[in-house]
Amino acid sequence: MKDYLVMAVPKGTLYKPTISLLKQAGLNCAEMESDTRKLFFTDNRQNVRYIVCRPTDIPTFVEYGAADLGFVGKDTIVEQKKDIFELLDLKYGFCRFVVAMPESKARETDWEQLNHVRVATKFPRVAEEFFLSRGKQMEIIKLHGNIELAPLVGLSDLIVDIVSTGRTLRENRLIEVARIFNSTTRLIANRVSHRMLSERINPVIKKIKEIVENGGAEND
Amino acid sequence: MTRDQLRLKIPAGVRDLLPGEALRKRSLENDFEKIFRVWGYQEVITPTFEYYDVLSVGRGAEEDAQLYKFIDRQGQILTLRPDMTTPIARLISSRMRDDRFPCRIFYMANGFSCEDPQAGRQREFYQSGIELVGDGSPFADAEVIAVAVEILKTSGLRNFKVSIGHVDILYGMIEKMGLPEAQKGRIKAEVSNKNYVGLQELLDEFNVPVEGKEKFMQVITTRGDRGIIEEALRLAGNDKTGAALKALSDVYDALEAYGITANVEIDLGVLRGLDYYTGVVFEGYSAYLGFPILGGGRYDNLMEQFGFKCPATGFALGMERLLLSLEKEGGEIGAVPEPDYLILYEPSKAAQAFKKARELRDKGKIVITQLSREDRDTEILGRAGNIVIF
Repeated sequence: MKDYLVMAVPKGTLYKPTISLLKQAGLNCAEMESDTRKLFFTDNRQNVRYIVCRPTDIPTFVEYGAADLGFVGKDTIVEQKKDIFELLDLKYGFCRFVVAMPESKARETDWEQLNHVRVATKFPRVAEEFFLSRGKQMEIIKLHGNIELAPLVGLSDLIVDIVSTGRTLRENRLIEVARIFNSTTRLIANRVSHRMLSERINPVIKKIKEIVENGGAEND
Repeated sequence: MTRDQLRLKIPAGVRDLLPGEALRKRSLENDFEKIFRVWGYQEVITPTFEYYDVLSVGRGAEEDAQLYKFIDRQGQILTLRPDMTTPIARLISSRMRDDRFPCRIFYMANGFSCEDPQAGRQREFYQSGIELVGDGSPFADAEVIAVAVEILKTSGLRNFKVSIGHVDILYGMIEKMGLPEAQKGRIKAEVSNKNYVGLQELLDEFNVPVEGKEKFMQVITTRGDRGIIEEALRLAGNDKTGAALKALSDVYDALEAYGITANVEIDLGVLRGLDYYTGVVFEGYSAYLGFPILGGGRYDNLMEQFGFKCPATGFALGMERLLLSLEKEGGEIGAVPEPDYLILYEPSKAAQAFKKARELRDKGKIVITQLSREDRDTEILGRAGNIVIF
C-alpha cells in the first residue's frame, strides 16, 4: 500500500480557508502555516503529505493520482473537465461566473442582439458552452489575466470572468449582463484513491462534511 | 515547423517502444495468450480501420468526437478502431453467427483515440482483452472477471483490486424517482461525471423526497464484501435495483466458487458509464496508478445493433497502464538479453561459421554472426562473452 495520503492545497486566496478547514478536521498543518516557501510537507505522525500548487493545476495532480484529494474551485473544475470525483461543496471561496461589458456600451446595446460576439476570457470552455447554449456565434479570445482590460481597449465586446464582490468590474466601468453559474471550493478525489484508499479517505471526508454542515471553515 | 524539422519526430500521443520496453510488453502478452488459450479463448485479428458506420455504433456524441476519421476514394468515412469490442461484435454477427455458442474470443491490438493525450490515455494504445459472447448467465460474468484477476496476478502485480458493480443498481433507483426523462438524463449525466455535489443539487432541485435522496447518496458510496449486498438486498424492493443486486450477488457466489474474492470488492456506486453497459461491470486498479488498469462488463444490447441479438461480456486491459503500474511497484525490469556467442568470420569461411551458429542456435543459444572487419573487430573483441573466430 501507499504509505501517505496526499492532499493538494491551492495557493492564493483559497489557501487560508483550506488550512483552517484542515486544522478543524484534526489535521496537523502547523508547518504549512509558517512563513515558508516549501511546496511539499510531510506529516509523519498522521502519514499525510501536502502539496501546495496553483489552483488550476490541482485537478491535474488529482487526475493522475499524484494527489489523492484536492481542494479546488468549481470554476477550475468546470473549465478543465478532468476525470475526478467531486465529493463535497466546501462553501467557501464563493464567486460567480458572469458575462460583462462596458457600462457605456451596455446602455446602447443589448448583448443578446449582437449577431457575433467577441469574448475575452480565462475560461474558453465555460464561455463557449454558455454562448452556444444561447445560440450565439462567437470568437473566443483566451487571455491569462486582467480580462477586464480587453473591452476597454477594443479587443473584445464582452468578457466572461469570475467575480466575487464585483469591485473590479465597477472600477473598470463594466457591468454584469448575464450570470453563468456560481462557484465555491470543492473537495475532489482521484478515482482510484477513492476506492483503494477508502479506509483512510472516508474518515477525512466525513469529518470535513460535518464541519461544513456546521457552518464551515471560515468561522475559524 | 518545416518538413525537414519533422523528419526525426513523432506526433503527440504516440510513442516508440525501445527493445527493453518491447520485450516486457511482448513477454506479458505471451503469458496472457497462454492464459486466454487454456480458458478456451481463440484469437481474432480485425482491420485497424473500418467503416465509420460500424465503429460509431453504441457511441455517444462525446465518444464519437474521439474517433479518427478519414475518407476513402469512394467517399466513405473510415475510422481507426477505438477499441476491439465493436469490431468483434461486427465480426461475430457477420461471420461467426453459425458457430458454436457461447463463443470465446481474445485479442491483443492497438486502438486509437484523437482526444488530447491525458492521464493514462494516449492517442495510440495497446489492449489485451476477451469477449464471452452468447452466455447471459452470472457464471459468464464471473468467468470473465476470473480471467481478469488471473492475468493481473500473472503479470506480477502485487497490489491490485478488482471492483465489481451493476449499472442497474443506480439506474433502477433513478427510474423509481418518478421524474421526467429530461431530469433523469441530467441525474445520469452527473452520476457518470462522478459529480456528487452536482447530483445532490439536482436531487434537491427536483424535489426528490429526503428518504430517497439519502438512500441514493449512500448507495453511491457503498463498497465492501458480500455483507453489503445482503444488507442492500434487504432494503431493496422487488424492482430493477433489487434484480441488479440479486444478479451481482449471483456473480459474487460464482467468484467465491473460483476462490478469488480476496482480490474483489463490491462497489454499488459508479464504475463505468451508464449508457453502454447493461449489467455487471468491473474495473481493476493498482494502488500506484491514478486510473484503472482494466475495465469491462456486460453489454447485452450491442450485438443486436449488428442484427444478431445475443448477450455478451468482456474486458480490456491497457498494456501501457499495466506496464506503468509494474514499474511503479518497483518490480524487476528484465534487461534485454546479451548474445551468448559472437561469431566473427572471414568471407571464405562463411559456411563453417554458419554451420557452427546453426548448432548453437538449435540449442537455444543467442548467436550473432558478423563479418570480420578490421576497423570493427577490436571493439567487438573488447566485449565480454563467448567469441568464436573463423
